[in-house]
Amino acid sequence: MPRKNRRAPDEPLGPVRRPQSEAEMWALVPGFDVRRVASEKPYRCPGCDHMIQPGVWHLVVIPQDDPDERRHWHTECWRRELHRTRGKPRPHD
Amino acid sequence: MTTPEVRAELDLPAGTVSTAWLAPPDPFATLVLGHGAGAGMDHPFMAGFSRGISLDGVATLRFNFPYIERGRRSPDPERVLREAWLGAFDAGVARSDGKAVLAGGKSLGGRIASMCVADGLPAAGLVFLGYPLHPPGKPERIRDEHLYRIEVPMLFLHGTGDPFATPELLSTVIAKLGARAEDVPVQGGDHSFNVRGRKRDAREVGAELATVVAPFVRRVVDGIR
Repeated sequence: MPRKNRRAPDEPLGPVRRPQSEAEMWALVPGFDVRRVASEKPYRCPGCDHMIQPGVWHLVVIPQDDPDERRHWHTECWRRELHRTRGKPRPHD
Repeated sequence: MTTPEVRAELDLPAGTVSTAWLAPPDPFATLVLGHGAGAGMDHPFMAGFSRGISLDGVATLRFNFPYIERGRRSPDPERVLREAWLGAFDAGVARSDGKAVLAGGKSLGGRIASMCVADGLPAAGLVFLGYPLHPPGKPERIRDEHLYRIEVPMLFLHGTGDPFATPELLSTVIAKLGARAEDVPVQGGDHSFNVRGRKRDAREVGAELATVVAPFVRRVVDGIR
């Protein structure tokens, strides 16, 4: 008694892709543009105060009402910031 | 290059169901995953989630509830769903090599997991990929009472446009749960985490959510609240 839902899915389970410049969807919050970047320059992450090394994929967060206040965050530090501020991050000094 | 899934059958009181085990070379934890009401363990969302989190070192065991295995549309009685969860969790523990075992799932699968954990299933943590807090449009039928009996860390991923969990109501529940609960809203996401204007197939959506679940699993394993 073959059951059609018993078979493994035909699609290959290879690596998944998303546009490299798109941040993870959980990283997006109202009022901010969040993009995924890797750059040739090091940046200091406002979350942990450590450097983001050149070439490391991370997030650049831009307040929509104050684009000059853009900051580069480690992805995990941004996640913590969202958790800490209950999804309403404030621009850092 | 990619690790193949190990497919196995699991005998339950209600019949035999399928399972899929997907593990990276040296997993630091196992997550047993129940599917949502409308589709089984091989739905691309579930498969993509397993694939994604395996790249971050977490093994998953997915399983079908008996009604899906038999090709039915409407879910089994709660007792049968719970029995399936207990059996699948044991299968996950058997494969876990002594590492921590968490429970979770999409919608119905996560809800039944939470009921089992509230009644003593020894999961180290719970992961909800869209918790069905109430039927759409019926916030008065809130399904939260058993959550307060759970003492392990819980991660609530949810779309802010999910009709099964209005953000206000879910915030209230998460606030009552206090330090046990973590909230990860997906802006504009529906019950399947689709966001308008952000085209993804379900497999990619699942894999993307895994990037925030893996660090949670790590915190549970390390005992960090």
